[in-house]
Amino acid sequence: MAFIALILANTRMQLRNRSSLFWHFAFPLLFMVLFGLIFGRGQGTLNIGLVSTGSAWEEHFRSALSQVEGVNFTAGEQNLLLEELKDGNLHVVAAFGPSAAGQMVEVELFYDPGEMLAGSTALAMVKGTLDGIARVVQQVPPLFSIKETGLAAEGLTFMSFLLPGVIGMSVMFSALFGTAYPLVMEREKGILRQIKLTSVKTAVFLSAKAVGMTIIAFLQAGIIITIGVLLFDVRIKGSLAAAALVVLLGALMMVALGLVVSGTARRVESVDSIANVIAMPMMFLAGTFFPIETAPGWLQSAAAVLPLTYFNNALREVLVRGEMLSGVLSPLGAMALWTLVFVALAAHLFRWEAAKNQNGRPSQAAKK
Amino acid sequence: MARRANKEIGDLICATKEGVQGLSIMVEVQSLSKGYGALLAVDDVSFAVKQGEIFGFLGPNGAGKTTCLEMMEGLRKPDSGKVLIKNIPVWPEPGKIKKIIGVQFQSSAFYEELTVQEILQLFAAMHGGKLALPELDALLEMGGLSEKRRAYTGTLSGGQKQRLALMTALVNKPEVIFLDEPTTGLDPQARRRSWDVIKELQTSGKTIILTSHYMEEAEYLCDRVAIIDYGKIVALDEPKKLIDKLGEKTKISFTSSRPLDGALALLPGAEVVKARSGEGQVLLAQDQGQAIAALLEAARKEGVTIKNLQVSVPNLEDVFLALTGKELRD
Repeated sequence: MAFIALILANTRMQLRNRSSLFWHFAFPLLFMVLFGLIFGRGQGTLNIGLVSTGSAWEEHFRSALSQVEGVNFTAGEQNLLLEELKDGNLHVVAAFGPSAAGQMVEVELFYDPGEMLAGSTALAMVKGTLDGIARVVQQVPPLFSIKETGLAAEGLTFMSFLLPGVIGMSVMFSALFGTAYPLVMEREKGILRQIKLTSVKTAVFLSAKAVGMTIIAFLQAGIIITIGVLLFDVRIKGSLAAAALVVLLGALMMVALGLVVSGTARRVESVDSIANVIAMPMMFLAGTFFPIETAPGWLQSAAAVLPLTYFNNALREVLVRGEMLSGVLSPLGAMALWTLVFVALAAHLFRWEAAKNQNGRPSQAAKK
Repeated sequence: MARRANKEIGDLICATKEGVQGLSIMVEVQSLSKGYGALLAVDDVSFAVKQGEIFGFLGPNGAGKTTCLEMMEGLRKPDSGKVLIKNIPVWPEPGKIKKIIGVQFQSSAFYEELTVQEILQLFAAMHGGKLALPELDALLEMGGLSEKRRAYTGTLSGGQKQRLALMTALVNKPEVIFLDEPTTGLDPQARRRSWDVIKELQTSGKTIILTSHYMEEAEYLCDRVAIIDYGKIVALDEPKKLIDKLGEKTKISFTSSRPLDGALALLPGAEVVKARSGEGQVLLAQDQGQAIAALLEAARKEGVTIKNLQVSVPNLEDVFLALTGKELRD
């Protein structure tokens, strides 16, 4: 009775509050659309500058590379091209040296190490093209027959990688803040004292909040998946029911973490900083937007046991790699363990009443 | 002064106990004490409240009213002493009295995204019941909130919020209602309205315990008041009897350009209860004519100007002033 009434009231309040609506739904949506617009359409074009030195190889080079889709050529003087490179308009500038019989032709390649992805891609492509030209000219038969099968062909595009991460991140932020912030505010305003005087049990009161947040987590996941499928061709391979179970466990884990934060924060003002200190590093380390394989080993080991890491990994395996629940038992188990730890901590920290100063009155901040 | 008050209070409590014998006692407090560090916020307080009575705690801020109330409500554990509500001990298991008490806190806040009727229904559900529509209507009617039933609580005025808090305290149909400063911060009209509601509750048989620092509120509402200062009850009786205890005295108040302390102490037939010049000075006189003449004479001799000279019948405020040497609102 009280349980249902509380769930209803909580859901009503969340849906009537514009700022919580924004954070729950508009924010992850915005995230998906922006990331999709930036990264969703592949690498874009590679701009290669070719210094006009009059070398005979320039034409070979140009015709070999022009067969590759998405490559733009700019020819000109070296100084001008290097300026363009520095301005970020070109990814690689190639300059062929003079060719003399019996000698190697010197090719100078300029690139911008700051342009990590496009720069190194362009560099590798230019090197590969030069090798190819050499092989053709020297008539060396190719040793390998390469059949390219990009992961993208299987549907694991960048957006496919990103989508479970965005769900994990959104559920984390919503459940963490959505639990901690109202609870501390209710305590500070004295609403919790009023509730303490009713017959409702602490566990019932808090469980109702958890159910409310879980409903919101499901809505978030639903919206994000729909956007991913409709706008960015993400292919959902796993079972939605299995994914729902992962989201349920993830939401409960984050609600429990939110309860810990609410027990730690004495005032509403401190909720933001405490929750952000927990959530921000976790968002980046948990492989939400990109794998952290290039991080130092110790950092990777630390990141591997973060609650959000398990959540993201389990969701990614199930949702876009088509794994069965039986294949993600270990991250699910870890999430359950984290949830238990958080619940135990929260039970220890939970307070109905705001901190009092010496004469037993609520502190000034708590009064109004 | 304090010593005299303490002696008096001993007599008063005895008298009260005799007075309530044979009637059904709803709330009984025995030797209740609570300290915060070195400060004794409630110091050995005892009293009893009859069923259907409106009982008031009067005292300045920090006198221990709220702490006392919270121990009776089961929110704050006493260091020593006992509270019995309907013969059920509140401590050590305050959960047992949840069903028979209703509480309105000093400052009331609500979930702002819920409407008035949603709040009442939610609280009824948390008490383990359900508010039937006629009951809801009756509550809204009593609180003067019928037209606001679909308004978000964030849009209510101060008086409406206070009345909603009171209605929230009633959803579990309590027998004893605690009101902590029910009208503080309200304009006179809203205060009147709250008083009407509280009187109506009494008519319906509820026992009401409230705190206040408004004298007129206590005089109008309370059947008996306990005057509390520094955690101790310094007087306890019906408001009228407390005033009568001041004797057939008349209250003379005035402001003067300079303090008249020395001269005042020598005035025949008048007792100084407050002598600070800036805030007005107060005398309680047996013979007003004699006292005023002597006062004016003293002022003339000292070359002091007397202003705002007022003669009035003493009220509860003056009882408080006489007992504690302080005004209720500082």
